[in-house]
Amino acid sequence: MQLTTLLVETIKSGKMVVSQDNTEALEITAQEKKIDVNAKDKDFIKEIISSVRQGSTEKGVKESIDRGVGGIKAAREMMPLVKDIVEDLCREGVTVTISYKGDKVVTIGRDADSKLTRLITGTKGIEVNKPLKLIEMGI
Amino acid sequence: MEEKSENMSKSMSQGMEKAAHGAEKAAETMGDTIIAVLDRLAGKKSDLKLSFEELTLDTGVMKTTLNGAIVLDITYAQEAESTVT
Repeated sequence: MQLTTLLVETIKSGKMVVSQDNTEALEITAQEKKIDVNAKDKDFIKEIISSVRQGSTEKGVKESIDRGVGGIKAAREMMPLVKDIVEDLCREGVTVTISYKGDKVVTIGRDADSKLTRLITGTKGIEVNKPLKLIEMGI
Repeated sequence: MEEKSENMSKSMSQGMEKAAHGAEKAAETMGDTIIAVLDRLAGKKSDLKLSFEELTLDTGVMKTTLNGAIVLDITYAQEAESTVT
């Protein structure tokens, strides 16, 4: 079992809210092998993504393009690891959903089933429910 | 026959070593990412608050339910100047 699946399986039920400066940013709800991560604050998500990429969000067009190309390269390198994690979640019957302001945007794991995403990612364990919202979130 | 089983055990141990190395790398990457995210979110400009509502965690060895909140605020220590002359 992958480390991420183990961590997800540890959370059995309940709710956790992450707030930044008294503003609710993330709400994580768990119930019977289903975890929903609901993003409420777009800036918070963008800050997390840019800190993961170790870059700033306040840069010029050239840097932004460079960052985009770097991001695609990094995503391609990360794909086998992501695929392993997703397939492990499917095997263990765990579903993780990512929502934005209450709307389900991405489903990962058991309940995901998308032929289109399967063509791109090579795994049926990732389903993009709302592509436009995903772009809006900046992922 | 003996050579075959020796080869098998060798490839098994190589596989296990590879898997352990992979897990170690994944944990290291995850740890680095968590530190970078926390440093940015709970660093100089803001603080982070984690609120728990009946959050049940079960590790197999221990089961616990969390209620309440944790505030994360990172303060950066300044290096003290040496007073030794």
